[in-house]
Amino acid sequence: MSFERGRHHTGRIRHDVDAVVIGTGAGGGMACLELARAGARVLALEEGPLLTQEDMVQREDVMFPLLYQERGERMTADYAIRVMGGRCIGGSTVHNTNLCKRAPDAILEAWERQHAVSGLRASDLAPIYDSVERELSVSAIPPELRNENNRILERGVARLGLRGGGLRHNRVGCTGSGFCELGCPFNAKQNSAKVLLPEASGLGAQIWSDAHVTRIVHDRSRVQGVEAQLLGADGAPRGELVVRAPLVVLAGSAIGSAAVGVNSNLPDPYGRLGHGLRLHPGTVIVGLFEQRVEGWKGIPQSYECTEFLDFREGSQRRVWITTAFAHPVGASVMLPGFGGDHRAWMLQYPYVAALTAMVHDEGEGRVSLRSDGRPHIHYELGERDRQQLVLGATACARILLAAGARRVLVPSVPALVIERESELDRIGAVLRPGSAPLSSVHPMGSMALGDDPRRAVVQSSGEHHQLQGLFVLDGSLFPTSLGVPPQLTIYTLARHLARHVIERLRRTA
Amino acid sequence: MVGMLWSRRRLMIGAALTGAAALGGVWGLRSSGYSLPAELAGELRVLSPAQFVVVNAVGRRILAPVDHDVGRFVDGYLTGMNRADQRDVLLLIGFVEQLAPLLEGYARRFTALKAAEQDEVLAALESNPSAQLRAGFQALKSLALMDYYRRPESWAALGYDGPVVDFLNR
Repeated sequence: MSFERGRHHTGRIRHDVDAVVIGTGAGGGMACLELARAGARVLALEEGPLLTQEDMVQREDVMFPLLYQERGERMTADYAIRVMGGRCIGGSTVHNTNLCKRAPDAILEAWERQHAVSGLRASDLAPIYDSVERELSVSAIPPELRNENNRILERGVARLGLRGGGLRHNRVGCTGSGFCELGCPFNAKQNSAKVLLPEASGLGAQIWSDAHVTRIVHDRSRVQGVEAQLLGADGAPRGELVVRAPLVVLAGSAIGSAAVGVNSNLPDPYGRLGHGLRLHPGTVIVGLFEQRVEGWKGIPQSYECTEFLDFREGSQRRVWITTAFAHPVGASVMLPGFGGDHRAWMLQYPYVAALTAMVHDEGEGRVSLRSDGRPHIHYELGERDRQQLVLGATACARILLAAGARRVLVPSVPALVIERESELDRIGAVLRPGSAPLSSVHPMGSMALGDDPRRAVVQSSGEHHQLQGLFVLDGSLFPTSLGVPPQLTIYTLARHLARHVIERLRRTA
Repeated sequence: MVGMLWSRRRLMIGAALTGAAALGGVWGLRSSGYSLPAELAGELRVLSPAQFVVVNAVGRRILAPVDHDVGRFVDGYLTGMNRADQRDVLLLIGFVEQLAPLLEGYARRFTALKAAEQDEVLAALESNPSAQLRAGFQALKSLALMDYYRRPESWAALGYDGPVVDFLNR
């Protein structure tokens, strides 16, 4: 297996290949592998570094700058929502919590019915999901591996008679160390970096780290390749990579792909490029227990509550609940206030459980560019989505109380502490953007697919409506929020649509 | 979840930035009284001695009752930022020192206030109607908390075990 580290190169380097893939996460990794399996000369570019098991030191201050876009500090333009995204070989699959859920049938039906998406029915995708799940060793998380934080969620859900269940993941050999979001030093994650890219490399794919794509080269009707900066360890450009190729696969995440597209001045006659962004915005609710929870230990997320998730059209039950726990830096930053009050909560750290409510959002945002070329995320939480957040946060608080929490903290400013059910209706007043920490780990939908070029950036095949040879194969494709963790569907769509890329390559040749 | 820090985004736009920039001259005039040992001052790469003192003062209130100076960490963190972001952070520090107390009715700079008065100024920033000022406060808070809670010596009080891999010997 060989990867090129861009940071080791200077000057101007040129390559001629059949296809260049931008991004190495779930979509990019799968596209790279499928192209390599088809015998194509493929080159994949990743903006972030190449990391190995030895780099995963389980320290927040060390790992966040290595694993995440903008050190994990990327915010929406109004500073209300932190948007997390991966930035290393393997993309977000290196730091995510490995949850594997298929796209709900109702979502796929809505894509077909309302967004003119063809060829993506549940029956079309089922065999592809099957193959991806086999290859990534997807399995149910054994109940005995459920940590106390997840058992609290399970207990509260059961006592309230809500709908809930165990989750599936793509880990093998997990030691339960609990540092998944900081990368796995035990290489247990069966992700793009471990499973897909090594095989692609073995088949001849060239995979470059530290390569920031600045522009897709095109003549407004066909793509011709890409231009990238090679970044040093300090992030400063130190070289240039120019790749000529008749095919370009854009898979740099819903934020990154749209930003590259805008910077490349892609044809956009209907003004859809970068629009339609969804975030699954979420908040965290904390419960204080008598017994030690030690939520940092074990598999972080292994149980879910789906009581408030109904994917039927017009539903106003659009919130998914699972666990959320952070190591000390993350926990301390999330807690409101400062000084003595803040310290008092931190000293309760082993005794707290944390749940998150994540909204299957209706509202749309947009990706544009800052004057310095970095992505600018415009997204304002609409009132209907805020009400869903309140619904979910209130449910989290009720679940925690039912599970035995002495107190529940809503980390708003000012902080709201709840000790009994009768106080739950206070949550709606404090849970507003800017007054409570919100985050997004599932950005999607900035270059939607669909057969109507007035509403979609790319065709149902994944190929750009106006630019031949440009394919989008990542979460940007989703015409709506997915409502479930997206990684499995991104892997699957990338595999399913890669056949169109290969077909285009054959016709081009 | 490192938190809302400054890097790669503009914090002090709008009134806050304008106000801080307008006070640039005042900062220069009122920069006496921030002396540091020459050796320490010589080690700073981005912060001036005055800014170093302000950052430490803010950090102490964020972390109270823990007594911990965050200035060196913040100075090191800033070296990883581009110049535009560094400039914004330095303006923010100047704003906290010079302008934020005025908004709460204090004619003295932040570092000259009593602890309770400093807390009042910081609390006003945390709940300020301006998203930029709230983000600025959150950024200062995040840096202070990151510096303290990343340290293994802070973990025992939390009952936190820390990494299971021996990262120092890898």
